[in-house]
This record gives sequence, C-alpha cells and structure tokens, in this order.
Amino acid sequence: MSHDYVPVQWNRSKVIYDRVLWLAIALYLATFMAVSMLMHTGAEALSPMILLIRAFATCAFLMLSIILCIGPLARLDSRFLPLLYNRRHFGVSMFLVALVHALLVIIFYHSFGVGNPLVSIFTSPGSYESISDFPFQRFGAIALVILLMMAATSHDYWNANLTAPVWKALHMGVYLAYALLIVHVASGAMLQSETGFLAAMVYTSVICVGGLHLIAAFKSLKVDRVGQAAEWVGVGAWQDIPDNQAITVTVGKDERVAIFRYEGTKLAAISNVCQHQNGPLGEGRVIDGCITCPWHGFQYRPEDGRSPAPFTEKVATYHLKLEGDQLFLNPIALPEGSARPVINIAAEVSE
Amino acid sequence: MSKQNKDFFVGYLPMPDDLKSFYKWLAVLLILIGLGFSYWVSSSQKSAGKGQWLLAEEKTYQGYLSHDPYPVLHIVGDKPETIILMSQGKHSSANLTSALDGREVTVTGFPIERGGWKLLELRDISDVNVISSNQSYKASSEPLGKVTLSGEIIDSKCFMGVMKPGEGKVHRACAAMCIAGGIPPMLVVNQSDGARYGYILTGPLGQAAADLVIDDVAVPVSVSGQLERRGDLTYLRIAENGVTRI
Repeated sequence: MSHDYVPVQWNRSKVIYDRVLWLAIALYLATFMAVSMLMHTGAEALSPMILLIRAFATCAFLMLSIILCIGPLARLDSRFLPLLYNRRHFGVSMFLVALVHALLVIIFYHSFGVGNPLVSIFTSPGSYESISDFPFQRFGAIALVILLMMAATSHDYWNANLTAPVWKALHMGVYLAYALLIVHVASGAMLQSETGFLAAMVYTSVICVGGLHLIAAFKSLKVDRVGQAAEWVGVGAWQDIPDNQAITVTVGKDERVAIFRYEGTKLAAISNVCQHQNGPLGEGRVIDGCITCPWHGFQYRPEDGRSPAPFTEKVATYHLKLEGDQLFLNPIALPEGSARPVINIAAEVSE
Repeated sequence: MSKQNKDFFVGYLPMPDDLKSFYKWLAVLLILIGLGFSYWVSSSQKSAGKGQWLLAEEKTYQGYLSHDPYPVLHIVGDKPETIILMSQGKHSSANLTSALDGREVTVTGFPIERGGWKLLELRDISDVNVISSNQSYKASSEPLGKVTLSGEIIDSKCFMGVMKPGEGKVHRACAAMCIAGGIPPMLVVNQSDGARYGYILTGPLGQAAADLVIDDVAVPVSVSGQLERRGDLTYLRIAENGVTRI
C-alpha cells in the first residue's frame, strides 16, 4: 500500500524471501559450474563461457517455470500465498539471470566479427520452413524484451500510474514470453541435446505450468454464478460465511463480488478485485477491521470500500439485504468507495 | 499480531507460526530441487572433444605462406606440416598475410589444436616476420577424386578448440559470423566408428566458400565436389549447387 514511492518497501518477509532466493540462485550456478568442470577436465574441458551461458539459461528457465506455478498454487492452497507476496522480486531476479545469459551469448557468439552483434541476432541464418532451421535466437530476444518491460514496470509507481487493468495486461505478457522461450529452447538447444535432458526439462515445465493453471481455472469456475443484473439475488444463508472471511459470487457476465462476514455478525459486499494488482479480495481476511487482500495485504474498509488513510485506493461496493437468515445481493455496483449500510445481524436481532 | 491473523499471511505482519515451519521445510526442499536439477542438467552435458586453445603457450613457426584460398603456413623439411592461420576474433589473417604470399616467414601466435589439426591465431602484423623476400613457394595439389559427403559445416576456429562445443545449432550464428569473417569453413563428417574427419571447403574454382555455405552452417548437409590435398590438409572443392540440406 504505497503512499510515498520508495525503491523497495522492505520488511522482514521480503528480506528473508530475497536472501533465500539469491542463495538458491548462487548455489544453482555454483553447482552447475562445479559439476561441469569436474566431469570434463583437461583437453576435454568445456569452455567456461559456454558453461556460464548454459548455467544462466537453465537457471532462468527453471525460475520462470516456478514463477508461473506460484499463482495457481496460491489459488489452490493459501499456504503458498507468501511465495506470491514477493513474486515481483522473483521475477526481476529471473530477468537479471536471463539478461546475463543473453549478454554472454551476444558477447561470445555474436561479437568480435563482421557486423553489429545485436543486428546479427536477427540476421543470422535460419528460416521458418522447418523446426530444425528455426532462428531460435530471435524468439529468445523478443522474450527478453517482454521480460525487460515487465521488470522495468514492476514497481507500484507504474502499477498506480498505468492503472491496475493496464498494468495487469502488460504483465500478462509473461505468458507470451514463456511461450517464446519454449520455442527458443525447443528449436535451439533442445535440438542439439542428444541426452534428452533439455526435452525433459521443457516438457516437465509445460506440464506443471499448464496443469496447475488448468486446475486453478477449474476451481475458479466453481464460483457461484448468481442471477442477472438489476435483481436482488440470493447468495445463501449468512451463517455459511466463515467469520472474517468471504464467499465470492459472480454476477452479470463476469463481475465478481466478495461478501464478507466480520466481527461475528456484520456483513458487507465489495468488488472482488483489488485495486493494486487485481488480487482476489474474496480470498482475503478481515484484519484489524479491514478487508485484507491475500496477495500483498492491501486493505479496504468494509463500510465504504476505501483504504484507510493515508492510502487512497477504493473499490466498488454493493447493497445487501437479509430475509430470515437468507442473504440477498443487489448486483448493481455502487461507485468505488461508496458508503452504504452494512448488515449487522446483532442489531437486527436486538431490534 | 491481530487475533484474526493466526493462519493468514500478510507480508508486512509477522508470519503465522504454522506457516513458518511450513516454509522452513519448503525453502530447504526448493533449494534441494534446484541443486538436484542443476546437477542433473550439468552432468548431462556431452564432451566437446579434445580441442584446445593454448592461450598460455605462444609459439613461433617458420614456413611458407600460402593462400589456398585461406591463409596457411606450409612447414617443409623433415617434419612437414600445414598450419591454418587466422586473426583474433572472428576474422581471417588475410589482411596480415596476403601481401606475403609464397614468402618464407615466421609467424607467432596462440595454437589451436585438435587431433592432427593445428591452427595459429595471430594478433597483428608484428607476429609475421619475413625471412626471405625472394624465395617463393607453391604447395603441390593432389586431386583425390569426386565425392559426396554428409556432415555439418562448421567454422574451423571454434570447432578446433576456441569454443567447446563449437558446433551444432546453438553455435550457428557464431559459425556463420566466423565464416563471413574469413575463417575457413569445414565439413565435419562422422564415421560409423566414431572418428570425425574435417574437409576444408572451397568454391568450384578454389575460391573462398563463405558465400556458398553460410546459409547451411550447423545443419545436416550433403556436399558434393572434388577432393584434393595440399600440404597435409584435405580440401573439398564444392561442385556447382553441391550443398544440399539433408
């Protein structure tokens, strides 16, 4: 919940996250180099720069695969939410590792010759007529540009100024980058590998990333779809909502509403979409009287959908009504940050 | 910590105890998976042969310069030997040696060796010293017949030891840039017994073959032409339209 923008709003979670991440990266690279140098010695030693190119490439690919698994994992099991919390540092780190790979390739494969090294990435021999002739370098280069744009705009400053939907759309480019990298590896190094390990790496990644996304999407389809707009729609008994948590329903075409119960007997409905990164507020909790997004802890007051001062984010709110113990939602969204009466069961019972 | 926060993670609040123990194990598990993956990928790499770029062993050779069409040094005498010459980076040494064709010279540089092949990387004109400005030499050429051979076109500098591995599709752009810069292209042929033979490629008229092969480097090809031997190097003079993708 940035008010004044600083490069990184460090906290204990982020510090531990980054230390573990970079320890893992360093151990990965060191292991790769050490094993290669111990297995291929003397006249059969592989070129150190090529080992570095391979180490950074496989490390970046593994990192991107894990990054893409974090989102669906967090949707399927809330214990993985801490991995999502600082995922942008993971993403920027992955970009830096991929950038080192690209720079080493440009220096050793594309430099010291005739012509511009950067131009040579796009003009080296190849055609699109067969997979064996695919100019794989171009796919990697375009993927790196996409990852660069994402890394450069990963800060909340850009999130706020581009607006959440635009920022989100831009950062969905990671899937395009991933697809390009699959082509990059499958039409490049994978063709040259006779041991099949790169093919196994790519297939495992695609199965894990694709499979988890499908399972998470299937779970999302199970969200209740209730009625059309301009009608009061029943959403069930209020007691079925766990205290300090929410149920999520879909109204109209694809508008999601989170209906929270808090302080035992209070009920309030707000948009399910966090203004920060479109996180699912309905999977959050009420903490210190505020609805708290499960992704990055952005908070909104149940009474009016506004973030507590000094923060300025606000989301749409909805009217609720109670008939017996059955709860009804008016699916017409009120303007973002609109105050409306929340239902207090205790008060209604006492009256 | 708020009462409500015992099982729900919020980044700027202390992590719930249950999650702490979960993440201690998960962090260790993820690091072990990373290390295992790194070991697996690294140990799966194949050997790239016994080529070596001897950057710590500067050597000087005496012989006769020739451009066949690529710069070579013919060493004559009791132990005749032919050394392919090239400049630093992805460049031919022709700019240093072409004016001295046929002269007896000494050349100094860093050897690149693989099997029976020897190449020498020169730095600048000071690495080439004329011994005799009058004496001329022309290597004899022995025709060996027409052949069609299948293999991969590589650049001789990287393949012989500068890049390990210096072949295959990943190395394609580098090989193309080397060949465009005048490094002799070679056809590497794998024999069924595992042996690998290299043939320096020239055009139909014996000219440099860069333009003829540059689009077909690092992919499986079949090359037809005339074999000939000069010094202890074997050349394959490519026939018209003699390069075919396999």
